[in-house]
Amino acid sequence: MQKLDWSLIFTSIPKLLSRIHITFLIVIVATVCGIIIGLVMALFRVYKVPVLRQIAVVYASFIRGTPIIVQLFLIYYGLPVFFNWIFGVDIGRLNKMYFILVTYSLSMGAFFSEIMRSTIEGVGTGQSEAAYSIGMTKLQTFRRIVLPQAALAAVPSLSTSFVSLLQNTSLGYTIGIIDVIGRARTIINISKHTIEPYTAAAIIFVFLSIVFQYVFSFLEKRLSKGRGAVA
Amino acid sequence: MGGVKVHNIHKTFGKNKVLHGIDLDVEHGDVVAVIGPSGSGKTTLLRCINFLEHADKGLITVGEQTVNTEKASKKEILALRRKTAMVFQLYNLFNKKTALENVTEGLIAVQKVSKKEAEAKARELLDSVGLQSKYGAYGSQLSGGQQQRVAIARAMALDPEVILFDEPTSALDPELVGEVLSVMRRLAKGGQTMIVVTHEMSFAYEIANKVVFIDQGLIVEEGDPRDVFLTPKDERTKQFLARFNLSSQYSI
Amino acid sequence: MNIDLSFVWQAFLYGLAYLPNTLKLAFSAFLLSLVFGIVIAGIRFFKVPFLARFFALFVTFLKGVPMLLVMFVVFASASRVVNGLAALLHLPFSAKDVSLNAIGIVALTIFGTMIISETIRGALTSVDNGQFEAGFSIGLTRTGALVRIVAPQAVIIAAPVLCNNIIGLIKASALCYMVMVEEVMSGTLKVASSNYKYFEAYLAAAAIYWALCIVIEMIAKILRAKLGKYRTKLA
Repeated sequence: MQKLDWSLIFTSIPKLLSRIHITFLIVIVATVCGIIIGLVMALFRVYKVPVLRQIAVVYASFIRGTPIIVQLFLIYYGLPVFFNWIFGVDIGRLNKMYFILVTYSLSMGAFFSEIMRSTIEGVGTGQSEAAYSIGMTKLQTFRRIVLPQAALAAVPSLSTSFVSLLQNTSLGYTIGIIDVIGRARTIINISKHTIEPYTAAAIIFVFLSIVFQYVFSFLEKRLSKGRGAVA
Repeated sequence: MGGVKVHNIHKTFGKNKVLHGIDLDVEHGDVVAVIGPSGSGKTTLLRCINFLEHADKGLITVGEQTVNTEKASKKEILALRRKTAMVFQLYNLFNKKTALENVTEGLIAVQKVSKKEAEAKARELLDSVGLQSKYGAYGSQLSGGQQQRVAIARAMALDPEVILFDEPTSALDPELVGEVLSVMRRLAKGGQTMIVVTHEMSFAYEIANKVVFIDQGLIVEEGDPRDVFLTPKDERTKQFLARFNLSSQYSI
Repeated sequence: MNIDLSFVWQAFLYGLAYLPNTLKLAFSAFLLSLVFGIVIAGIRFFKVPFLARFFALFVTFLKGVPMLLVMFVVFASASRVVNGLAALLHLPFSAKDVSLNAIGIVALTIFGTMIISETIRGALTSVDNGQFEAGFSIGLTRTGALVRIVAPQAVIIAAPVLCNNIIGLIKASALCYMVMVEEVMSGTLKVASSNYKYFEAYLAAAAIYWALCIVIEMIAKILRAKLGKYRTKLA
């Protein structure tokens, strides 16, 4: 049996880090798109928009109820079929990265819609009533009073979904993305050592998760600084 | 002309009929105290005036504008709300906003006043309710009485035709009631039209020029505080007031 | 749209045949995780010297590792660890005797222990400290107060979250197909390998997982309603 080569862990790390920008790209694009999708979906549900609300519910349920790997391949195989059918365009040769970005944005969007829905509903009716009583429109009430409070309350949960998104990016290699994991597998193929490159990848992921968690808790403190206790 | 007119207001929650056709006339500059047992519909009446509750039937007039509640458009409701302001039982200060921001919010967002002007006005108002040292305080850093005074300043900022007070002191610790009442007293003396739902009978007696007693969704008795408090005609009014023992305080 | 619906159905039935194994993976891992999770949560809740710090680190570390990597590392080190253990304890077995299922369950248990210990710890800390004090005031020991007063309340809080944890484990079990464990995912893909109708196969897999999770969510909802009643009775 092969002996563990500890030094391989350390020599792998810089090689893996050379692909970290892929991970960052996925995480950032998916978070931004996810927040937009999630907010819109949450609004459909909070304000009970007919039809769209039901679509939002089914969408969130599907994402919550299926493994992300299944979602990834559904998008990867399904999106070209769909585009071909609707627009008659062949997107099968598109950069694989786009499929990854669509999948993770949709996934993040579903989780974020659940988070935002509960934080929006968590802003008491007294806040809206006070806004209405001074003559604000529904839109003004939402934008100026409800949304800022809901967004602040969403930060801790956003942090959790963000970290799980970070980890889910590790599945990108299955459709051929060379991110940290993809690079680890090329090292494995060359060195014939399995455990060490994976361990190196794990170290990178752990480090990133911890850093991101700190960033979010700093952000939360910063945003609520001096604003009194969360009511 | 001005004031508030409520005509034949009906309101039902599910199967529960809360208001059975209320008529109320409030002249410009009037201070009207609405009293009655809990569950009588007095708060609902107040909330119907600015459409926080949408009445099923009836007419509501504020200033020159009359709205038929059966076919009120969004635009009408908004216009009506912009002529009124409300002070809530639980203050409902905007969270995550300072006292000053609470007062400027309506000026900036609704009346489109410049930020600078709004802040100047807000400072003036907070001074007038005795909070000159609390501009930057958040709700959670203020006592209940201070929060309610911010809420009153927020209402005053909009120069409304009428300010609706929904049991403004009933959530306060007894020692903080006085400071809120004294602000309201000054407001009343200044000629502000006010409708006050309250349990503070002596306060109602002192500042109101009209008292309305509501029970089971109907106005049972109304008139000059002297008449209503000291010589109530209806049996229900007598029973209700007996608990407060007002006559002994004032009939000397 | 060019979808072979009859093949989706075929793949669905194929995948369904593997549902028992998916459930076996997820629920074995769940039960093991529950045991480890309760132990770890208890150690951290009572701040047992050294061990509490150790497990805090352990959980923080595992939180950061993608499930996929846990799976790969367990798979890659299984033979090494098992043979080593067998040699150490002079036991008559070797890595060849270890089923792939066992590897999947171990990997899922590592992941499950991390999330479930957090669920239990969250439930314990959310029970008002006054409950402990009330327990002490009637002469209960710390363990007595935990068992008789706090734990029953913590169970009520934890139960719906544990249902979510089960859903998490079921979804994570789909990754087992990557280390050649046979379950729903590999079942549906197996039929597609002959005709390359992978989209249909993944649709079938999605349908199975989705249905399963909806059922568990419904159970969680019922549980929440039942326990919620109990909770108000408690209050």
